[in-house]
Amino acid sequence: MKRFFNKFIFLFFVVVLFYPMLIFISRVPFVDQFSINFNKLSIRKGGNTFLRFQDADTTQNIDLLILGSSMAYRGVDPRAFDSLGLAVFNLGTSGQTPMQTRFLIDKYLYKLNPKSVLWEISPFTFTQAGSESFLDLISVRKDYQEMAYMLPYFKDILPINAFLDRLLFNELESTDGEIMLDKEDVYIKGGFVETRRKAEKIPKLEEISLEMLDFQKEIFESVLDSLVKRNIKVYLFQSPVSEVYFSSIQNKETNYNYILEIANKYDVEFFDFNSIELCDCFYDEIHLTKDGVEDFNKELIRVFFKNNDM
Amino acid sequence: MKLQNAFLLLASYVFYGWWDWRFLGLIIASSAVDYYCGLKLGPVISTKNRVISTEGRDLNDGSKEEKEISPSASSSRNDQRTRSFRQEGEIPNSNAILSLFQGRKLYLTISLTFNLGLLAFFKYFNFFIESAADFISLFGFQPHISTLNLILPVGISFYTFQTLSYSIDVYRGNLKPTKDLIAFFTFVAFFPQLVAGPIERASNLLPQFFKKREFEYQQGSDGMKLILWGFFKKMVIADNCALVVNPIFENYQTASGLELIMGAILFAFQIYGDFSGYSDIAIGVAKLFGFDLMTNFRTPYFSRDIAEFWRRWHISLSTWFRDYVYIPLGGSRVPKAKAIRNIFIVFLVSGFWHGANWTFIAWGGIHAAMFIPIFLIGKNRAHLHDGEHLIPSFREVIQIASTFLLVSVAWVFFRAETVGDAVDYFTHIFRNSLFPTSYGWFGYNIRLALILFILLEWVGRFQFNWLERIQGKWYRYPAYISTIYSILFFGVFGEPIEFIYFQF
Repeated sequence: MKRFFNKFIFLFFVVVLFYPMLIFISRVPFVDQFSINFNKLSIRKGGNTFLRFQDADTTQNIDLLILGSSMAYRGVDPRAFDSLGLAVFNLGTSGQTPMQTRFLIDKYLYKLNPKSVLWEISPFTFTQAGSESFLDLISVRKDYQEMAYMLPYFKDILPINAFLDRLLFNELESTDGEIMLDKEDVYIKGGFVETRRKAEKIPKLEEISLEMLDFQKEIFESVLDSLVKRNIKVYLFQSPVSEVYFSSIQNKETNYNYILEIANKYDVEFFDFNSIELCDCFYDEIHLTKDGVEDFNKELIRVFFKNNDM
Repeated sequence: MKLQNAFLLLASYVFYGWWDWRFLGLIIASSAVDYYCGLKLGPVISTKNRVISTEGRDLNDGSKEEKEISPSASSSRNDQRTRSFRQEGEIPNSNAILSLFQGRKLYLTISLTFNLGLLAFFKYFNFFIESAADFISLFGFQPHISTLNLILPVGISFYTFQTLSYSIDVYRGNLKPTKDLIAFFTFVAFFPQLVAGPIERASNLLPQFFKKREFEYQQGSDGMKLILWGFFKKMVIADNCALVVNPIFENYQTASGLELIMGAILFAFQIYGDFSGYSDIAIGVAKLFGFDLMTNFRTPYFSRDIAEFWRRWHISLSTWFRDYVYIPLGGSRVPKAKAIRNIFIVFLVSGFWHGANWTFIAWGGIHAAMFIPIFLIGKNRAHLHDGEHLIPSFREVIQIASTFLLVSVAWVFFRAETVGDAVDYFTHIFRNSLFPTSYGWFGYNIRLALILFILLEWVGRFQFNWLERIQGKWYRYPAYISTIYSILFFGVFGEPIEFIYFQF
């Protein structure tokens, strides 16, 4: 038994010791085509996130802070609030889950000092630890090492490899290199990304059940609790999604009831924009076209801010 | 030893209960019924010359060769039984023998009814109801049916078959019933192979619970090699293939002809990597605990005909059906027409074992149809031994490739939702445009992994796997590390892709 364990431990240490070499090899051109679990940072189109943080660093004392996933930063245009005279910043990032929201709140809340928070709550982001968001953030943030505490939550090996990659070999590339924005996207000051994509017919989707993770629920509540305790007015909303996607979710009522229950518990407003008729203008399952955003933002202001009572 | 068994039993029940503790009752009930029936099926009456006690002792003269139960053997079964009594010094009168056999049959019937009843209820109840309704509707009636919302207990097909093998072997007199309750319950619930096999024979596994087990370096090392290679098969081969195969099968109406061909071939690799990977991990874990489980796969895709394929694919199930269904039906030692009937029965039942769907029955039927011509020309035992050369001959390459293609065709029925979908899948190969459109070719990573996999499987086809072939620590350690790195490099992580055979 002793011999077996000695050899096992020896093998374990050898594997760990040479692991950085594997990460380095995964970056070599040609080899990178085979390595699906490595080297995602340098190929990420993280441009809009980088610009958003650059923008946020020079912004302070706003009226309204928007949080959430791509449905937030592609769906809520700060310019729509000009008529209300509100200073708005959109801090949404790709696939942002409550865990990443808490990280960003810790980083920006004091500086941006918002009076209100408009938080896009997508049940989908509660179903995972947010590896997409993690990759998005560590590829552009210099303080990425502070996100190491998120690593144990991931089932995927990719965030761990990406983190090690950034730590060992990728210190400057993604933050100081060329900013790559999708050619269909335009970054708008204030954190919004406007798309030029046209509405598409969305193919039928398989039925899915979105099971919210307990730890994400706990983080969601703790963030909500801290915001309410700071006397920040919070508005929760579910962004409109395509009819095809909406009807593919089997347990939407359960998830809606959960959010409603939490909203009532903390006495914050909550509205699901899938409950009202909006133009079916989506370029994919969940993202609105430019016309769709305009339509949705009018409704959003009508529902939450008609009395401008912030 | 008793403590070891008790610990294993507890671990096995925790393992099974982790999925759904309510179904622990089923496995306990199944074990209890077979334990009781086993005891009642004694005393041991040998229909063979060799009887194995559950403690692993050969109860007869070891020099005598084991005889296969065959129709000719079974016709003289009563004579043999009478001889057994006489050998044991008991000469009961004919009425006593009659009542004894009636009692034994009764307990065997209880065991069969209970275990097959569990399967019939949890796995096939809705299928029978719906199929009956479909059949009645053919005559213009519209029956109002109600099905049950049943959850299929994980591993039920595996552990019921395992425990049935015990009852049948005890009934046949091949195995002495055990009085050790803990050992028997652990045999039924042994966690490494509980949910997806290999389906162990009582005569192989049960005696191992009566031996004191100590950790042996070589056995542990062999176990770790199997586990490592099993993970490679599952995470690199099966799960990568699944990422390509699933969208193709879900959208076969719009996929191109080449994509559909690719989907069928990759599914063959997926199911092999998935199931044999699980078997390797199960056998490897069992070795760490000092148990030797039976081999379940022997590089089946290098088979040169369908008969050889079935000697190499899911060996624990195919030999189960051979020993407990095919041979009792008469096997091949009956007139040709009956033998063909027997082959069909075994393949159809084997297909049906996989699930309550006509697709599995069709899959079994196709294999029967492919097997029978070889059987009729007497070539079903043409490839009993592996070709020993490293480079295969051109003839072998053609044989292997054609067998693989035939097997891949049948897999489409296994994978499809309905038989109609499977037929449609093939018609769309010719109806749709040939070249890739929406789903594209599979990535470089899977192409490289598959090439590597096929080469390593070929090299290691005489051992459990290629890792066992490598001698010398300067070669062995780089091989282990390369395999670990390959899993980390090419493997699919994230949301787990469940083992296919968990659903059976």
